[in-house]
Amino acid sequence: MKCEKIQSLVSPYLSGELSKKSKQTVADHIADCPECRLFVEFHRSLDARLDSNLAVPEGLRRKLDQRILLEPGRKHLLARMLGNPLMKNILISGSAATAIVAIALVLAPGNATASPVKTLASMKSALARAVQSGELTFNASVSDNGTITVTGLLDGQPFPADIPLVVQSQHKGNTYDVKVTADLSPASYSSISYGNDQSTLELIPKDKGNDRLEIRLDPLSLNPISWTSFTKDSEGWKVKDHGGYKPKTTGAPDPSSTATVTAHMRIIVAPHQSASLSIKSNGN
Amino acid sequence: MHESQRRIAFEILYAENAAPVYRFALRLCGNKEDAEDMAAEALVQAYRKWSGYKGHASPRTWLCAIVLNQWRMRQRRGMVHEVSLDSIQEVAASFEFVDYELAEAIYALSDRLREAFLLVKGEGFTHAEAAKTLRVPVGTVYFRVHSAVHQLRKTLGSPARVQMPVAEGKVSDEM
Repeated sequence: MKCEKIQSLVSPYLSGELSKKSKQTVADHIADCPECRLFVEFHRSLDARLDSNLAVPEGLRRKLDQRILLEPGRKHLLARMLGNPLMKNILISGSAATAIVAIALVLAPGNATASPVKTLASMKSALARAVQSGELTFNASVSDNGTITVTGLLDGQPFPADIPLVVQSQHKGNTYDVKVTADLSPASYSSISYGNDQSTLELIPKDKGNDRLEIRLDPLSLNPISWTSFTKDSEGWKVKDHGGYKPKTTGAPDPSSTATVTAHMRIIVAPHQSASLSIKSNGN
Repeated sequence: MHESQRRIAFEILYAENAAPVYRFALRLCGNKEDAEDMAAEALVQAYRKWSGYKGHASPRTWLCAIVLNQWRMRQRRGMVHEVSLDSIQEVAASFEFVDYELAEAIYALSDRLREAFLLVKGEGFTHAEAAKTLRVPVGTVYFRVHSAVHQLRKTLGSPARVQMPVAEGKVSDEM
């Protein structure tokens, strides 16, 4: 087969789109033809040269938000909330505890001064740094009847009860393998709003309409200072749990970090006994 | 879908796709202002038509197809700015290593070759996805990408001897 025909198939050959027979024909030809090998090398060099770390320009988000916010009925309280420069400071402060606040804001329509993309990056970054600095701890215990209980500590404080902590487990005899995942991705909440004043954020976890998490913010710095979780029964909302924040981590956000943390634990329980295990993040 | 759910889904779509969609628009049209407009319009359309998105194509394929339609519409209406030295700099900076030579060579391609080349080599579309986006047979995409690479090789100075295709046609992978 002529080189020209072979070269016309190099692009689908490299992307793995040729039939098995055609792929073999091209591979055989390339192995024997220096010129076509050079052509393949040029293709590959183009792939490398076309690589990109291009950032999204501010102007794009601004244009996007202007067009979306101009839609009738689109602008609401949360849109105005993002215009608050103090809230923006929270988003870029990067403490572990501010992650939850950042989750709240990522749900709101953005504007030119507080891009939800940056918010998302900050939120992810906050949790990742907490993990890297060893501030996230999971405690798992197995009772004598095989019930598994998992709690989390973030920065030395109890994990807010309504941050989704997914526990999966299996056991063989007295050996329990436990997998815990803390998911702080924005999709975890179905509703975010202010409480009676702008010092309280209210979050409703997805698929948990009878639960509610309130985060109190410092009125001056707007840093989160405490959380209270509520549950609703026939008599109304009742306090379920309460805790405070004492964030230590600082630093610039890293958009490449992740919002999900997973821990694997193996607990071996003696017959008719209970056992517990603690695992602390070590930066890996 | 509830409004807040749509918003969440959209923000995730934005976080994952805004950069590549803007990059495609910038390399296609050659200037930042038009690229921002086209990428923003694609994302706005995605937001408005979210409930109609069936997930048959990846979100990026969907968004790039909207950008492509925007680009062609602008061309028909004479709304496309000329590619200037300044705008070439913006495109050159879109590569990991600022690459003026490559930016200029891409603008020396015809529109049809550039579209196919950027979809397949720039954004990693399969030839079949590009064919669907461009609404041409897949063999035509093979041909256009091949022709674009040939031309770039000639422009960018390759030591090898190459023969340029002289007319558009279809290439089949049948042997």
